[in-house]
Amino acid sequence: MVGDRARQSRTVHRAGALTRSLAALAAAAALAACDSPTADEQPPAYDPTQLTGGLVYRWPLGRTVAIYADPTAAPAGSDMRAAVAAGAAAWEQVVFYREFELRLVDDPRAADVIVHHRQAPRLVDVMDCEPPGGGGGKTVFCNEAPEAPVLPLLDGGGGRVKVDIYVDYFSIAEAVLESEGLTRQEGLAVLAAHELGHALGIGAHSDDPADLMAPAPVARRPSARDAATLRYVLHRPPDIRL
Amino acid sequence: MSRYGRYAAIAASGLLALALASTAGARSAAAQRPDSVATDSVSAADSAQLRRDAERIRAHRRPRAGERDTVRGGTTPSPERPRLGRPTLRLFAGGALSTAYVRDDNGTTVRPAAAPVIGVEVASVVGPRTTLAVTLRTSRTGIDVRGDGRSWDGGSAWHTDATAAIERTLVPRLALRGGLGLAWVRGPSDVAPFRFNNSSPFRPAAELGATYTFSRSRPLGASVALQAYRYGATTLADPIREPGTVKRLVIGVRYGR
Repeated sequence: MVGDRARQSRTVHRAGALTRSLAALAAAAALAACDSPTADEQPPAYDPTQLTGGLVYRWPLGRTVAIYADPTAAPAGSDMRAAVAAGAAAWEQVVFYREFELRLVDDPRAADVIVHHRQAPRLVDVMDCEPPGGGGGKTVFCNEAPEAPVLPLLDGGGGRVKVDIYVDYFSIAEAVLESEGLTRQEGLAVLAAHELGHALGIGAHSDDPADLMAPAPVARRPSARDAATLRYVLHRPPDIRL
Repeated sequence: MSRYGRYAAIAASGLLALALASTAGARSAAAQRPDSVATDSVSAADSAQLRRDAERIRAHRRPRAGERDTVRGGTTPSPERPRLGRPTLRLFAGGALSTAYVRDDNGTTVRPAAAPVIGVEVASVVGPRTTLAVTLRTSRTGIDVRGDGRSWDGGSAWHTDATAAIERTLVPRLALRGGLGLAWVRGPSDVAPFRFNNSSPFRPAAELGATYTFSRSRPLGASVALQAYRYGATTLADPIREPGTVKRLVIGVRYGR
């Protein structure tokens, strides 16, 4: 009788163990099948390629983009380095995945981008790549697919500069600065940030004057519309790789 | 998987934990019956041989360290009497592999790298072959961001989780466990999803696992656990509109009874 009970107990125990094992496997499978956190792709707020004829250009993702802020011919009271640093920080904050890092460097030979005053002579040969027209600022690169060529340094050639930017310290009218509550230096920072937006891949101007990428910018930092547009560009396959 | 699928998965995990807990309770109740039940069975058999064997085994058997001799006055001990109120400490060291923190439809994935994990656990026997374990594990992992055919450094993140689990010995040396708890995850404030989730980093978590003890004489075993916790969508700005589940496979060795 004792033996029968022991056998019966063992059988029940095995059945229970099997049931629990199967339940554990089922629960593990259910856990494993759950979806990962997923972000929806966001559309751009405006066409980011309107100035480039539909071509997308940008830096490779994850890249550190070195910027040289050229102090040459700086008007009194201006600080180009501070203006560029503010603009770079503003753009870094709008991306979600560290798609780029903007770093200021002290040597134009180590720079991917040079930002200078309009009055200062260029440090690189922009070849025939400069588009017509002018304004408070201009961003120049050679739109050659699949990869934009290096703009060689005038002093000895070489280097790694692919984008040349100038900004005009005096381009924003005094009345506009007053109405927007901006100092002249803050106006310079706005222009530098706007041009950096072009250098990062926004080949367009927004039709909303509240956006940093408006043709006559007064916004201190990228708007949500600018941010969405840049994030969109960063994840399109580039026609031109900077 | 649809929202309902995810709810079903969570419900399945909870049900498993409840099932293990209720089984433990039933076993515990059975074990608390008077030993006279077992004694009656032996008496009914009226086997002098059995009694002689029991005496002989008792005489030759040395109690193991920490084991109470429950044999008193010639009664037959319950072989699986619970040792309530005697928590033991267990240590864990191992590694973890995890699924992505976020998959963006634009092609970007933020994923933790393989990470070392250390942990400590307080375990208490609550029934025959059943243990309640409260576990605290922590790890620091590098973050790998991938997109556009490239990968780049996304900084590093801390993951700490606290889990209450029911552990059930299925066959000698092999135990299954299921538990619920909280995961605390904190990462760089400029990388999604952390930049939106660092302000409320506690997340509900579930765990299923198994432990295999290498030998009866040493309390050393291999442990594997599948953890899952909900992540994302704490703020309106978060690109993750609805929380998803991050899964972690934690493998290592455990020391302690």
